Amino acid sequence: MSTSQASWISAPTEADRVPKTTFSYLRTRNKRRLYSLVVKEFKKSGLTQAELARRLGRNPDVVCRWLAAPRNWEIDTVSDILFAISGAELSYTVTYPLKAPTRNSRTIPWLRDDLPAKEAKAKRADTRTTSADARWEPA
Amino acid sequence: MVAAQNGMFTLGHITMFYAMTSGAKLSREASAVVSRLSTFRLTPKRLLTYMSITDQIRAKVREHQGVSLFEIPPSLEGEGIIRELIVSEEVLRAISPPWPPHREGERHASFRALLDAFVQNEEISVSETPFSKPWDTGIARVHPVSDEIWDIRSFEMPPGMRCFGAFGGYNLFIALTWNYREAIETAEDWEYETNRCKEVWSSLFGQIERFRGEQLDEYLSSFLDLSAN
Repeated sequence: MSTSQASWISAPTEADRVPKTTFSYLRTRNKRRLYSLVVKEFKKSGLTQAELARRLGRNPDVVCRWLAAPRNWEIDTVSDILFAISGAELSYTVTYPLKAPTRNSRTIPWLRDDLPAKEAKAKRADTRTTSADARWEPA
Repeated sequence: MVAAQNGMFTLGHITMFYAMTSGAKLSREASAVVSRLSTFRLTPKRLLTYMSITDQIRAKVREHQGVSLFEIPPSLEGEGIIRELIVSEEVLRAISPPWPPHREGERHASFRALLDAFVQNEEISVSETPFSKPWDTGIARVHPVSDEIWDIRSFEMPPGMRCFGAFGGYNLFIALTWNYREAIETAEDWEYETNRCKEVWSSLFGQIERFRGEQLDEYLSSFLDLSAN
């Protein structure tokens, strides 16, 4: 089974309907990225959840819930949280992930550690097979 | 001899050994070797044990790679791996398209997005304590904690999915089994899932223990420990 599934998300073309699974993937991805951005900012600030709750004028339980997991945040909520944390606001830009160049770091390095050794071993085995075949070739 | 074969002894060590057994005065180099050996002995045993377990787990992963364990590159070409995720064939099938074009398929695609986010080091909330955590914690240790089985938790398309596995070291998670959340209701269901995961671990890793850290930052990066606030 191959693990090379990098192309399962394809760019929208003409009038073809984008698969629901692609939308689903991208929605989750964006929710997680926004959550990650907010949590990074929160951690950087050094605030406690109780302090953030006071700044927001909200119950600490609500803030705890917001920070526990990615959600379908309204833009108002993100705007309030970011500003309350550090006076920050979202920066808007559009990127094209399907057009991004392939990264070199798409594999786990230590899984490749012994690859040269394996290849060399396979090569040696190949050579032995070839010479053995030559010996056994009928005259 | 074994130690020497493993590259642990150098010429300096041998000189030192000769000097010590023959009663000769140690040279400056030999003294330095003794000093290094002393430092080595003083290294906390805990750290050495962790490295050893991770190395053993990595060796097993390499052995099973492409047969019963698989690495997961991010779905989008332009993104790299930061946290390492290895999955069993069972998990690979769950997160590999094509999925059915209805709600269930969307749930699997969303789950794939969650695992990709894990690999890309997105922030994730973590809980080590099974019975006192926010219900929507991102990754949590499952009861009993001594088993070191964790679940990565997806809440999209509620009630979502759970993926069970264990850490093999810092930022290395091995995901072995999964199920829909609605199929894991009772304590018996949880026990069944935990045992199933442990069985798969044993079949792949034999007697090698699962990674055990003392603090969350020994398990992974970019996490939010909700109990800390």
